[in-house]
Amino acid sequence: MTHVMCWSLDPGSGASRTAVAICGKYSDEMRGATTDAEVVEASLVDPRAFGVLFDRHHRAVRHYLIRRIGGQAAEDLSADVFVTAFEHRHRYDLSRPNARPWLFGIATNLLRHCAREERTRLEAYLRRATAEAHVPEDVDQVEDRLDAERALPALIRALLELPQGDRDALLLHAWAELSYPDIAEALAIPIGTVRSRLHRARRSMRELLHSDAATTNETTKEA
Amino acid sequence: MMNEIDLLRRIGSAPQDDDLAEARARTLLAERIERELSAGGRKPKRLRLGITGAVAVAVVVALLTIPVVIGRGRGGVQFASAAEALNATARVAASQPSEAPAPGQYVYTRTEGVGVMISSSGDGSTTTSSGPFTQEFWLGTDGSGERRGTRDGEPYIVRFAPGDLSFDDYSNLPSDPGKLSDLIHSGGLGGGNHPSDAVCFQTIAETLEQGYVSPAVRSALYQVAAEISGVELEGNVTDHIGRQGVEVSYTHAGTRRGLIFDPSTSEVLEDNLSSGPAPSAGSSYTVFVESGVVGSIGERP
Repeated sequence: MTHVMCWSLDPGSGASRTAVAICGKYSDEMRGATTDAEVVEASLVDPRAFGVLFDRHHRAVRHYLIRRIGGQAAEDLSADVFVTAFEHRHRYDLSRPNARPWLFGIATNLLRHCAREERTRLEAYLRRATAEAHVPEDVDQVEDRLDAERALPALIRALLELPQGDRDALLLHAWAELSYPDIAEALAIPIGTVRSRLHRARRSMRELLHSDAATTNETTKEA
Repeated sequence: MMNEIDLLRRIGSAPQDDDLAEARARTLLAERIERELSAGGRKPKRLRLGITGAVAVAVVVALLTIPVVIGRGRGGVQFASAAEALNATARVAASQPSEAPAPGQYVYTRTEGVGVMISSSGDGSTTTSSGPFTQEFWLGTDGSGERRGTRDGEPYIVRFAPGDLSFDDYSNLPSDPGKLSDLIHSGGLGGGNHPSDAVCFQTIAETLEQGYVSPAVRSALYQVAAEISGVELEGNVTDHIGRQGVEVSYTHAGTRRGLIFDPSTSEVLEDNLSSGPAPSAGSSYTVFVESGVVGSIGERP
């Protein structure tokens, strides 16, 4: 065990000129060696300890949200994730050392209020991918790149059509790089359900990709 | 041919880091933490009490009752163990009458000590320091209140409208020690789903320090503390303002928490933390100087 220096007595002061801040840099021992669960536990005693979790995970959560909804909405939501997590930290299961799935679960819940922003984001990806698919940048492009550029628009259309739960599981895997057990924890669903959601999502995408490829081939033949 | 997951990873890849955005998010969290520190101490929202852990305070009850003298301080009774001291104090608490504040009244508490402060600069970096504080706190039965004090020499005042705080969060705590123990060890008073003994001890200490806890519940709290293995008896000690009492402690991950109380009144005198085996120059502590029931904000016992 390491020292948990966030145990401290503090009088609190709402009007202090020096903002009481999260303890991002005040406990190197905690930052370096303790588990997230120990940080959460310490934060139940001293709320400022929660800042260590922010330092550890904010960037990953923010990147994920930018990919999902982009813009200021993503920035706002990434802040909300940590405020929400802080407010609900007493519910954290301290037997789980890694808090990242929990934080991504909170992010996923908050994303449910951002369906419009997500659609706008995906449509922007689609427009860009469609444009790039028809304007090769370099005559020396390798085959994979051409494949990808042709496939991306269909893939994004498939994403747009996926049920929310399937899309959440798929993007937590692809973009947040969570493992299947971590996705199960994040979404509070059995791991079997994660597998079936991912299987269904990938099958849908494959079908659309093949359908799109077939259409492209037909068009090519007709031409 | 790439698979679907590889293809997905090409979409919107590699968002740029944005220090300003990160600083804004950090500030929002810091403000939320600050609110919790200001409004109720170190507990999560669901556990927040009207009077805070760190700030709060001893013991209206003890001041309103006739002490049952069993010995005080260095010249008082020598207890053989932490459990013996805590159980003896539990019996004293149980003998005291209930003196809850009436509607419209306020519980007044005055504390002082040294606390850890964390300051942030505009660029999001933080520094810590340890500084003195004094504080007065009035908590109304309607959840209104006011906190005044100084922190590292700077005065501050925080006002709470009715309902901002809550006075009754402990009114329904079981006075049966077994039931209260179950509640504490199951995380019902905080500490997550599996609170360690260290957190349970912390919870008990903070609860004892509230402005008003009924004598029966106070007694039960001391009894539950007596059952926690690892609570050590430090013996008869003098607190930071010269009062004599008995100290028990719990050390977790190298951090020692000490609770000094007067076994003749069951009043909590001091709560302290240190990273070594005994209080040191780097310690934080809160001394519970005075408390009582008053009729209005600004009035003192």
